Order: sequence, then C-alpha cells, then structure tokens
Amino acid sequence: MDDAVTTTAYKQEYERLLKPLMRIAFGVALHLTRNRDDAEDLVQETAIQAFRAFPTFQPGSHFKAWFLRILTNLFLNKVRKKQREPEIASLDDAPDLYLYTQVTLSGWKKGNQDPATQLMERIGTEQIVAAIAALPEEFRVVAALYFEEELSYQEIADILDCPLGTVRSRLHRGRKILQRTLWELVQETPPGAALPQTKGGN
Amino acid sequence: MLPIINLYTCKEALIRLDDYLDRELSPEEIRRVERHLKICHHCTRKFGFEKELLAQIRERLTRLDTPPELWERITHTLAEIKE
Repeated sequence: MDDAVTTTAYKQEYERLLKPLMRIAFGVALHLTRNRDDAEDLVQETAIQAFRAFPTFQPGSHFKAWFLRILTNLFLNKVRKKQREPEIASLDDAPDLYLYTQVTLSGWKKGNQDPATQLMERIGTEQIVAAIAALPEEFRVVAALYFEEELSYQEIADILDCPLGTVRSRLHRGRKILQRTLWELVQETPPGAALPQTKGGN
Repeated sequence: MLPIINLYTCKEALIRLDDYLDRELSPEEIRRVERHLKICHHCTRKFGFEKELLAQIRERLTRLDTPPELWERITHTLAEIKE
C-alpha cells in the first residue's frame, strides 16, 4: 500500500509540475521540429523520458528548465542521428536594425501609429512561426527557447549546456536573420490581405 | 573627470541594444544606455521599435494553440507505464 501511495503521489506531483508547461513545451517543440505532428510526438516522448528521470529531479530546482533541457536534447539527438553533417548556416546576416530601416524607408507611416505595430499588422502568427522555422538549426534552437519563454541567456546556456557567449552570439545573429525573413514574408503579402492568426485571432 | 566621458555614443548604445532589451547588461551599462536615450531621439526610436517588435512577436506566439488532446495522450501513456 505504501508503494502504491508513493507512486500515486509521485505521478501527481509530476503531472502538477508538467501541466502548466504544455503551451511552452509545444511551442518550443513546434519551432524545433517545424511540424505540428512531430512537435506533439516530441513533447509526448519528452514527458515519458522526464517521468522516468523524475527521481533524479531535485525538488525546488527549476522544473521548466530541466524539462526543456530533456526536450532539446531529445530533438538534437534525433537530428544528429538523421544528418551526418551539421546544418551549416550560410545565410548572410541582415544589417543591424534591418526591419526598422525597411519600415522607415517604406513610407508606411500613418499618423502617430508606432511603426512596429504597423509592421506587425502585416505579419500573421503563422508567418512568425515560419520565419523561426526557417532559421538554421543552431540559431533555431536558441530562438525557440528565447521567444517562447523569457529565459535569461544563462538559463538558455544551462538548458543547452553551452557557453553563455554562444547563446548571445547565436541569438544576436538569429534575430538578424529572422528580421530579414520576416521582411521577405511581408513583401509577399499584399497590404490589407487577411493573415492567418491561429486561435484567438489577431 | 568630464561628465561626457560617461556618455555612450550612438554606436556604443546601439551595439548594446539586444543585451539591453534582454536585461543582460550590467547596472552601469544600463545607466549609460538610458542616459544616452534621454538625449538622443534617433536611438530612442530605434530602441522603442525593437522593444515593441520583440514584445509583439512574443505575444503572438502565446496565441499558438496547443493540441487539446496532447495532455490526454500524455496522461494515458504515463498511466500505462506504471501498470
């Protein structure tokens, strides 16, 4: 009976910690896998692996970071099995403040509306997801953690087990590439076109 | 010491833009960036744009719907593991 009580309490505690993370975990998984079905599978697989490793989790430590570390490791291990050669980021960086410059030069400004809001009115949520998905893997992994959850560079470095400087440089460069991709997507969308915004609308 | 020594130029402020938005600067660097922004409207607009863009991207991503059956799948699988 003691074992059954312990096991039930163990499972309840695990589920109590895990349930609030579903949105973040699915968001990160979606950016990593670029596919909703694969993202679901990755979250489910992570949930099982983390459950098995739960006895090693230190109560009071950062469950979210611990869980996201398992999730990203699982993803990276799968990717490394599939590809012998790492994905090489050959994309040219956009200049600094790329979107700010493009919006300023575009002559969109109307009234006192803030230019970032004007820009975002032309960008759908699915386009943001597509732009993150288009990032090369080394930048995408960092960006997925950064955009889905306001983690510090140190927290991201701990999750990925890499130096803080690596997180900083990949994030800075990833943002530049993302800005260029977002602008290209905006250019493909006629002004006033209805944009898919997913559940919740725009 | 001349006070101007403590002021960042536009270039010095802008190279710290990302770290400033991400709260990764030291208190001294934050103070110097903000002193620069008080006197430079061009940089204030640029910092404001990037800050708003980042906030809106994050806000949009929170709208991504999590598949409703995902949690159910997970709890069922966990139950099976134990039995």
